[in-house]
Amino acid sequence: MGGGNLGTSGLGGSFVGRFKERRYSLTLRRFWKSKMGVLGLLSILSFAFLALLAPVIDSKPGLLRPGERLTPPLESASYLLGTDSLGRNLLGLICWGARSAFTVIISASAISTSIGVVLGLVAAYYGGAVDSVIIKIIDILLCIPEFFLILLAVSMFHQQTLTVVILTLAIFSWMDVSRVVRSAVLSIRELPYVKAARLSGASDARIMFLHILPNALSPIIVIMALRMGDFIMTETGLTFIGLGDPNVISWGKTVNEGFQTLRVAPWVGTFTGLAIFLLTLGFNLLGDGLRDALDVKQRLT
Amino acid sequence: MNLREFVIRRLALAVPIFFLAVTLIFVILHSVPGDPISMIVAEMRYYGASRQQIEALKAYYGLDKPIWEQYLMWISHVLQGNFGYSIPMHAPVMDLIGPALLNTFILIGPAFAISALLSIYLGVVCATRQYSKTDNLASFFSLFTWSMPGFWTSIMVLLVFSLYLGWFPSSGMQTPGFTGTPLEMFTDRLSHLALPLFVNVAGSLAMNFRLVRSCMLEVLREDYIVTARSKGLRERIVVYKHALRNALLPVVTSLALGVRWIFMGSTLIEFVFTWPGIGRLTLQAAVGRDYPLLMGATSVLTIVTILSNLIADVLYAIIDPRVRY
Repeated sequence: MGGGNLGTSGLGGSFVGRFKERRYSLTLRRFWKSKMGVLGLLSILSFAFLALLAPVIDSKPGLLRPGERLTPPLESASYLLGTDSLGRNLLGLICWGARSAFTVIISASAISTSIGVVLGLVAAYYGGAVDSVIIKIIDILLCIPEFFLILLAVSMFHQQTLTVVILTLAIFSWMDVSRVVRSAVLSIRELPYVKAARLSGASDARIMFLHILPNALSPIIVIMALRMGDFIMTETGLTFIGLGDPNVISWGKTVNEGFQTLRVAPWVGTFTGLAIFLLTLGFNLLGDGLRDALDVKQRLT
Repeated sequence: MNLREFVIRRLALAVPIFFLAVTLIFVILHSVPGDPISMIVAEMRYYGASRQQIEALKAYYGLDKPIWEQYLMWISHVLQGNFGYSIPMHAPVMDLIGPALLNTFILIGPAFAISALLSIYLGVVCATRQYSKTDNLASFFSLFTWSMPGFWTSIMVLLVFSLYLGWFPSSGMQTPGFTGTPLEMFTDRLSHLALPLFVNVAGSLAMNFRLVRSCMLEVLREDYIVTARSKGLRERIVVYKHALRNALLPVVTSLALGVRWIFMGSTLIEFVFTWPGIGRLTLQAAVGRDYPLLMGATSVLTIVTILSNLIADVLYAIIDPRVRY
């Protein structure tokens, strides 16, 4: 989600289209100027590259090579970052870990944002009892420390597949988006152009998604970027303590194994943790840069 | 309405929220396939337990009753502070949570205080010298520490200061079996506290610092600051008496709201340093599928969060004279 696909080519001819294009190009230019945001994007893209290259770099991930145990980094040309206590290629583990990290954050944030957008729209648009129920749910979810809710939910499953982790992350993290969407809708709902759309017979869904939602897009994008950083932290935290899918290579699990063998192979935990740190940093920098570029004034927590 | 009435009203509002939260925890536990003791049941089958024995166990935990009856039972137990019995730990859940919560406060309390004071000091220094070298360095650094996963920072700190340099012990709250003068005992505890405390402070400092800095910058642009300066007040008084007091309003709220983040962040730090706190206990419960303990710990942490939100509201009302209750 680099922001590069924001241009609207279909509307190019009309005045509104030209105005929109100009706004997007301004936003883009402001984003490219913020060095930190671009740096974050670069970090994310390089990890995405590593994730895509994973099968090339290590075609047999997690293969145990008892003869090559504990090779330090840079000592062998075939294991650039060394091997762990079981003789697995650390670079390979990190690349495959990047794959599962991206799988988790992309799907979790897609689901979480969809839930948040739909509930926020519904709450604000229909108001009344629907609104107060949704607000109550948000209040309750915000008072239970979410890491523990996620712990509770994930540990309930006997088979903690990647899907379970993704769904749990998504289900307990949509509240911010909902609140932003809700307040945006509340401020827009009574504007003349929405009334005009309703008078001309547009359906509720059409008004909500085509006329109201685009105005709440900027804060949603910023929240998504920052949320992705949180997702990496939570996912690696879960796998670090031994929850999550045991059959998937994950950064948290590798850091834990590095922690167990800290005396003999300190590089395992160090490099894998560095990967977690750099990718999280990437998303945080991107979120910060986008916030400035899109001029989102709200203080997002 | 006076302050006391305000506090009581806020407390009254917090109670239903707590019950709904506890209900949510119950719903999560019961909406997942398989009941909480199916693991134990599977194990008992393996060891050749009879059907009657398994049924007796289910009856003992009330799992043969309809769901609404189980829910009422859970709520009434929670009201009595009874979260059940932890089978793996062989102790009532409350007896485990109490001491663990105290240990966590020993770690979090100082961390919270240091982080708050340090972030206010740094925030003021950087906001008054915006874009100076100090400011740029601090802002840059805070971006980095903000993104560090606590468990990795813990491992790195452990590697350097405990394994390589040997300055601090690597785990626990005190050296087992260590005896000496009270002062020696205190130093021993302090040396165990140092590393987890450092990581905890580093974890929360960045966010607090960014907040204080941006609030100060906002306030420093206000008209009354210009007035204060033009009256010829000393810069110290302008910054600390006029600007900081107003900038602190949102900061106090965020600090209190941030207590939940400190708890969550502290969890994995406790895990790495084997600090016997509530976070580590919760993790053990989650990994060992100890559901009564897990539900109990989550409920207690929910109470802590609700209370800290309440404290945030009350503090705000006390500090800001403009707030009408």
